Amino acid sequence: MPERLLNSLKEERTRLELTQAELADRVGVSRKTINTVENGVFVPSTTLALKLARALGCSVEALFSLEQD
Amino acid sequence: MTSDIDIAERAGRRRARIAVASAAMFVTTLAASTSEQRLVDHVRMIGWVAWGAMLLIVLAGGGGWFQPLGVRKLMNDEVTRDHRQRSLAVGFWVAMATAALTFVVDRYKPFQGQDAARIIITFGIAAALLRFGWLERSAYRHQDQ
Amino acid sequence: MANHADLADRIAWGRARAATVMALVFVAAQIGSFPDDFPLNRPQTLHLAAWIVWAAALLFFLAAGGGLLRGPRMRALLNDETTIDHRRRAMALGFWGAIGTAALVYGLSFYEPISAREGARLIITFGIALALLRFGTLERKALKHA
Repeated sequence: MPERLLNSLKEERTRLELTQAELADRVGVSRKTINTVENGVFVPSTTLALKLARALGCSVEALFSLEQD
Repeated sequence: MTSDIDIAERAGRRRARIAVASAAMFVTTLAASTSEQRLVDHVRMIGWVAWGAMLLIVLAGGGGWFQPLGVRKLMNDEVTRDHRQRSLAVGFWVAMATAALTFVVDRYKPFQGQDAARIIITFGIAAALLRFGWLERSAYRHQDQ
Repeated sequence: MANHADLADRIAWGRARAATVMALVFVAAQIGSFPDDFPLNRPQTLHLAAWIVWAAALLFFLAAGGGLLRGPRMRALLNDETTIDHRRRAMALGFWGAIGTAALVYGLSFYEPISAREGARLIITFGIALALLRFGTLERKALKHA
């Protein structure tokens, strides 16, 4: 059974009072990308995950984790 | 001031709507066209070829050709590239299934390869476009500000 | 765990090579079998039946990825994230192959009569072959630098 990727992207983003559009602008992607990652619909590449972490000033591990069975 | 993000979002939503509408309209051209050799059929054929070629270019490159480079990059970012790959895979299966169907139907009611090719191309492209449009539109749903 | 990974690697190599070989053999086997006479004679009927079964098996291979009899753990290793990505990219190329072949059939049919059955067979054959070739190439590249 494939593991599910959990993320706290929305929490980190709202903590910094950023809209999806503002975060998208910082990272250089469309707002749709931020939306699909937040909703767990899209699993970001490592590159995108690193960019998101850098934009939010936290580590990748703080943003993403694997669901424990 | 309208940012590239906003422009890309509006253009992306428009592209998704057009993809779905184009797919449906493209399929209807099958009903209208025949293999007969009247002038109107030649005109329809040229129209179908041109339209099909344009839709294939959209599937290959994603559209937004008249947008600035920054906007185009946003319109064809990671998520859209993933959607495009998944859509082409669906187009592959539909093309295969349609080809298999024409193969079987020809056994009982023989028809020309030209018509079979047109049917396969039409449904393959339409399926890929429909899937692409649906995936893109789903991605915009539940969007926060 | 190391044994599972080694075994999965060996099977994956075999699968990648098989995909490439099957693609080439599948196309080569069609040479000389066009055009179909109508009604079909016996050898042509057998040839067509074999092609149908073969095409269906290759499509199933493309969809499922193989390793069905190896258990869920081995299947998970054989069909990991990279392979899923390779399969999708292969099917994307298969799409272009099918559409390209269909366009060729469409154009050629203005000069040379082609039946729907012959056209469909060409389109399916080249669509599958291109997808398999691409899958085999991607997998072999990935395994080469392992």
